[in-house]
Amino acid sequence: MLDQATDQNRLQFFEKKILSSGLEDWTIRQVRTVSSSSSKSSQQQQQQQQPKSPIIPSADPVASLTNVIATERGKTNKNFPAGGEARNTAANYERFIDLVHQMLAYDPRARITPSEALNHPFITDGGDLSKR
Amino acid sequence: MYRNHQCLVFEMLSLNLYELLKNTQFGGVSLNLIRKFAKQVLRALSFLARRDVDIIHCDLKPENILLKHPKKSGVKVIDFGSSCRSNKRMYSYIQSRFYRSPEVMLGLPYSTAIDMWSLGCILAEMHTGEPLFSGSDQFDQMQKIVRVSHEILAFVIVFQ
Repeated sequence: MLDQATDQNRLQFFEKKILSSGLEDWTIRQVRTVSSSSSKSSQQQQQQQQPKSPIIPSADPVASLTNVIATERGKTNKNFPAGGEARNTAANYERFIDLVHQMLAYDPRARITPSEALNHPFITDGGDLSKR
Repeated sequence: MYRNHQCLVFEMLSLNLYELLKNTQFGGVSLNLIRKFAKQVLRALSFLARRDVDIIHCDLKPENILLKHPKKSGVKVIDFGSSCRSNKRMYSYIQSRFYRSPEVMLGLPYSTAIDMWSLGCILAEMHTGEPLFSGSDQFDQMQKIVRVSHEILAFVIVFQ
């Protein structure tokens, strides 16, 4: 996907490194790029905007997605009476994460289509569990 | 026509999904309710993706999914103000940032698949109560996405 994007668009987010093997490798930029037109003072400001922790791309997207969703859920749900959670069985939860993960495929060609999603187990099977 | 103005009349709908989340103090809603919402929005997307329809919504977000009735789970997708045909794309700067797909951020040609990206973000948010990728700007948005998945980089390597 990145090789189809123009430099102007991709260099905004990523930087290219040439590996010793001669292969190109792209990594996410840690610091914002400074456009040539901006003044020195704003350059200094920009450089101070270093992220608190380095951006380490996750090696296991499903795990990190589960993690993000679970943490956010735990954080916000403290003062909210539990009730819905009991019905969210582990299997149901896994199916949910799997569907969201397939919806968030970077490559639009690999992303799940609406008709495939309608046949995904989270949509088709999940309903049975709720009838108890 | 009313006093020389052309008027469009729509049915009265209830809360949008953002307001619904707000009513849970951003605690999120149950997976069963999410399933009901997802099914209906997927049916809408599947209609839009039909070859003879071929419309990209371009601005799918919780604010644009409305409950038909405050106590029931029926929803409708609204606001086709930014929508377009996939063969007649109008703009490159589309979608609300939190729900913006990687191909749009990279300025690539896009398709009906961008609405599916948005839906993925929306479903996660309906569960947690917080936007999945809440970038403060386009750069921050991409960083937040890559933090969760490195596949975009794997993809580049595969296609070199």
